Amino acid sequence: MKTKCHHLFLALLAASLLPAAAAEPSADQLLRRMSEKLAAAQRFSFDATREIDPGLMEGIDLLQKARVAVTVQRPNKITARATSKRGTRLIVFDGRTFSLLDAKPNYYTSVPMATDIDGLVARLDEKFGFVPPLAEFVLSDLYADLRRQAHTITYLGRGKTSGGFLGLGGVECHRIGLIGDTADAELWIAVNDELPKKLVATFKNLPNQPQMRISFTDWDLNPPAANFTFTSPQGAQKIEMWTTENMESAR
Amino acid sequence: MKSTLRYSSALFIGAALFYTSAPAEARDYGISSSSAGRGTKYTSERGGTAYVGPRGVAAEGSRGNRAAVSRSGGAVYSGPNSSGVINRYGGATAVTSSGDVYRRSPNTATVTTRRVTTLPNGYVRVVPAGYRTVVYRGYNCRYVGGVYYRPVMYQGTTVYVVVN
Repeated sequence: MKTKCHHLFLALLAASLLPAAAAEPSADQLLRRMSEKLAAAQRFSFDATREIDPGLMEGIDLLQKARVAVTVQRPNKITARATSKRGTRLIVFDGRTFSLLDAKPNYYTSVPMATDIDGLVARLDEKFGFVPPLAEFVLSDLYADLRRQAHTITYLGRGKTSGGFLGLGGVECHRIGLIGDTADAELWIAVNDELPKKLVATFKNLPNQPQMRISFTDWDLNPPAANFTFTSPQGAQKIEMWTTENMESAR
Repeated sequence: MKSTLRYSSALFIGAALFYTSAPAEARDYGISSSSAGRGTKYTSERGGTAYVGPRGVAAEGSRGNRAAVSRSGGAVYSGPNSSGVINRYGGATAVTSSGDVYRRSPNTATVTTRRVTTLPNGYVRVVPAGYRTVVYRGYNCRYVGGVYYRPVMYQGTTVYVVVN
């Protein structure tokens, strides 16, 4: 009798848990919807705060904190301004030319690059060994890019971002775990607008497992028209952009 | 089944020969450390991993030995106690686990005992204080202490080539 009661209790417990499990959102579907929403936006802008631990980028031995402002016009225009203690870097791409200004020493570079935003990110990565800040989030298929980096995706539950006065401005989010070969990441997607709010990536194979933490703010999927023409500041000096091949041949 | 095993063995042997950490650590979440990150990954049943990318091949054995060969002729090896690079011009660099660097150009041999720098010899990120801007060999350079520094943009930031 005692055993039967025990089994009945377990069955009831399992039954009570089933609806909750069934109601759990699909991490894959959440990622898809976020990606589709950004892909459908022909023009959008966002701000972000990015922190990069020491050891994650070559030659950078201190915590790097930068404020990044990005404006995108699909398919082939983007501006990104990253401001940190090291100065301001401005990236402007108008579909034909890629320009980059390092404002502190007042140097800039321009290279012809007739392609779209996806092509820009790929070519910069391949030829020049870097990508614009937060490049993943401006690609035409964010979902595919995240799936490329993560072989396992899991739903971790809900969480609230900290923000505003006494944390009252926090946003309720779905937390998605992304497990990859190089990095494990946690992406927070807002429940209300399904846009990314936070990303924490841990580069698990590197010494001390450095992290990159991004907090997104001010998403605008219909911003006013922006200017994607690069104009060099007064006194700025144009310099060459070195390819990775240039640098490798010097090693 | 037999062919699978043969493939695995071949890959395992290959894994002992080819690998670099760069392919695995290239662009992730906006962090780009190499241009060689876009490739296809193959995994053997015995723990070997190989990457075939547009600029070369790389592999890692189950015991952590790594090596790579680029299409342009460079080669990289990384084992538990050392790693080394041979570039296509014949220059070679080896790094031991203690951080010592051994460098040999095609014509000369030198040995240094310092930690690996992130930029090659002849490149710096910061110019010493007290410089003045001059034109040297057609380039606007910074000049201080008898040395010219030519600015170039590399991986999104300014670095300086030591010209003289």
